[in-house]
Amino acid sequence: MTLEIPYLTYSDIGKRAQDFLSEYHSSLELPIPIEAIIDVKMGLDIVPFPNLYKDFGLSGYLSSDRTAIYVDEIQSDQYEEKYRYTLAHELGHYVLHKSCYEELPFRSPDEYVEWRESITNEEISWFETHGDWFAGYVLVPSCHLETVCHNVIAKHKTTFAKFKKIPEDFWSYVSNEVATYFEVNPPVVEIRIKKESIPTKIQIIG
Amino acid sequence: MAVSRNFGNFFKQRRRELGLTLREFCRINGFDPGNISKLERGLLPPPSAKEKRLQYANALGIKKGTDDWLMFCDLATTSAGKIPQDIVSDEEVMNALPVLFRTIRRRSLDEKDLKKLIDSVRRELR
Repeated sequence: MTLEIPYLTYSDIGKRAQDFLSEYHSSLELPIPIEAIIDVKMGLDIVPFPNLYKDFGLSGYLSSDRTAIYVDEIQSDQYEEKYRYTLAHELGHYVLHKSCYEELPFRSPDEYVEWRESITNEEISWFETHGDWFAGYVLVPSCHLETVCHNVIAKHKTTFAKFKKIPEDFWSYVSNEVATYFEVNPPVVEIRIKKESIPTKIQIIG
Repeated sequence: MAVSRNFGNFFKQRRRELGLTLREFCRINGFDPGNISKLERGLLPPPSAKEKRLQYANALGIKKGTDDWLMFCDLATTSAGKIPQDIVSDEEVMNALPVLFRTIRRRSLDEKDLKKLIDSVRRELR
């Protein structure tokens, strides 16, 4: 049995993420308290799972009954930004892929193995992309991104004034500092900056 | 406050009422998140030692002599008598398995890996 893949655009997912934040964190205060939202407000269990990454290459996952998010124990203990991203990504599955979890065809461990082996990487990658987009939107809300980028650039105005043209890796450097405001790893911000076309909205030279 | 059916649920409910995540609660009180998670999910029995129970009650803001204190003690006593089952049912395992997941470097888990994953989940639920 294949999975029914819902077609969702980046902006569809942005809307769902915004709706989610309106319901669970309407102040939009940064950093988004993703762990408290999931555990305290939504009542989902966040379970530290020993060796999940080491043994299976998994950072975390949403349980098939949608009551718990299991996270690699070392990640939850030592890698705060990655941990926050894993939670937000799995939350994306919870919010966006409910119907998929309601129609699971396996009833025994053997059926599970057979079913999971029948799912291709291509099918899974659609769902995972949704999760990544949702995580980016929730942890780095659109309403804050431009302002924070603006503030960071203003802070380094004298340095940037020396540029004759914008270096190619300029936004990668900016992402490093911007990421600290959102408590995420820089690549998350770099992708959000591109997706939100921030470079076209902020004047850097002149 | 709604009456929780067992010690773990009561514990978790109280912690959440304090507005604390599992990790925050453990960090503040010097507890191990893995153990508290298991306690909350009924996979570990409440401690039998009085001192430990008192430590947990204090951490949850439960004062001696209150109704919550009585409930905490009652549930700890009744739940302590129930040894968590050593054998986990297939249904419990099925409920705790991952559905959508992507591994590092997008490597697929083969049959052997998936069976090992099921065993790990089963162990985690013990």
